[in-house]
Amino acid sequence: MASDALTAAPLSAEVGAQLARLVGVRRALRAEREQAVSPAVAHALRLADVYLFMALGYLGHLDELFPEEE
Amino acid sequence: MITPVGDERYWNKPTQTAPREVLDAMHLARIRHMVAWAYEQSPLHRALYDQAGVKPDDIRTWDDYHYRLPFTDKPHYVADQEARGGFGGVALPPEHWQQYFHTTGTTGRFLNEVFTQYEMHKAGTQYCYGMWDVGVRPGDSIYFCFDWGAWIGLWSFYWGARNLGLRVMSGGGASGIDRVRQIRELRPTIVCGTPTYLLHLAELGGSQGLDVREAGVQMLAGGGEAGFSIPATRRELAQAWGVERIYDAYGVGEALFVAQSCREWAGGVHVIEDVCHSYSVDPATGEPVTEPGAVGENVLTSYAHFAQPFIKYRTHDLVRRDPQPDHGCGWSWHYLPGVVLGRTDFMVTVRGVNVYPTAVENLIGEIPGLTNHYELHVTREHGMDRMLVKVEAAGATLDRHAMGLALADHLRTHLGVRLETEIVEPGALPRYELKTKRIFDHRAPEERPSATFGRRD
Repeated sequence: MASDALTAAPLSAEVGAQLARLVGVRRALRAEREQAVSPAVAHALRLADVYLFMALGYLGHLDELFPEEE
Repeated sequence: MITPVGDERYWNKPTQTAPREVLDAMHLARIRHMVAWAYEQSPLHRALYDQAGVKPDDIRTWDDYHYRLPFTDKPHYVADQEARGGFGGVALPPEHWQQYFHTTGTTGRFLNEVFTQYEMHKAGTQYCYGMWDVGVRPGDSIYFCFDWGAWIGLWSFYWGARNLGLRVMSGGGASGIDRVRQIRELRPTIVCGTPTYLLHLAELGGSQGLDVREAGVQMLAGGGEAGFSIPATRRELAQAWGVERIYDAYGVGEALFVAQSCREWAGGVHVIEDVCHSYSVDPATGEPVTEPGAVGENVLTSYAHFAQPFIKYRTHDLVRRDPQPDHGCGWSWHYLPGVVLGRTDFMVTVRGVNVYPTAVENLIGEIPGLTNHYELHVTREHGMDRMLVKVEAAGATLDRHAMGLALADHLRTHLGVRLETEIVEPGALPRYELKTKRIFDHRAPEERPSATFGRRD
């Protein structure tokens, strides 16, 4: 994506703050997924990421458009 | 169901009521992102953009999007599907695909569709905005009159019900009368189907002494046909089922686009702008149509579909657009009054007058003694389009000849052109569970309109 792209929607400060917190949650979730002790845990965390990503979308997240984008 | 008060009505107020300039900034950022994704990952999109001499970094403004980026259309995907085998326009490999569908094939060719798990959930969220607004909450239940085949149809409604936490009741595989019995026994909050089929179920139940009004259903929902946006059909459905609410949805299955009605029904549906961008163009030139109330073709970019991106995609659906709806719901998202008015590939011009199928259906509903079971037959004679409107009478003893004359006069008064009419006996026209076939175009392929623009191959 072009470097001048928006990384978050210009919504309210409250929305921006929750978005920032949830991006942090997602980072932690993905770190846990990399250390999952079984495929079952890894898969459950992948599903959690799907749902978490929907919350990011509601808050105007623009860095990625869907969970598997990277 | 509840009656939400104040902000309780909004599923996602931050975006659902956001100012237009904020929404447009988000749209442009997402569109640019989508274009870059598709260019890198989808051979079809790369080829289309290369052919147009456009790179993702060229798309920076709305003018770039409107005038430089090429349209995409179903034939592009079908051609790519046939060239590659299996699926057209894909941008993610099969290990990401979780479900397969295909279009109904009403345009002659199936388009194969693949969706990831996230995409199905994301598509389903589109229903939550409208259902939440009318007061549907977790704990409510929904009965599906649907056989869960390979047409996406009400599958996306199912994903919406799962997202919202509704109790799902499947009528899959059951006969019509068994569905009536199940609905009376299970007493769902919502019954979901096509409008014609829901009317059929009410008739069927009535004929066997099983009145669906005794089932306590609070809302009818679904889509697939124009009926949920036609006042007379809405009244007929409400009366037949004894419900107060009729919920409308307009979908474009392949692009995972589903527009929704809100609580203040004003004859149309809102575009769910968290999930897509939608604008109107002149089908003949591709120029944006911006005058409020003007009819144009709905063109979509989906933010819910990445395995098979749909960017600046021609739906061929003709819509009116209200960019600043003020019917009291508070949503700031575009509104499509009348939902789908017709198709660019089914334009009928009778003695210089454009005739839209939904306009005809509206007018049929205003003649006492007629049902909403109708067919439009289009022919061409001596270079002129002709339309025969065939409608079922509500009762066997009614004077069908007189009703035919009354309908012809009513159509002439309101459309400005005389159409042929034929009133047939009750039950003479076929019933359909899925999309009802209303339009029979008997014109030769070369006689039908073909609205094309720009670089379409």
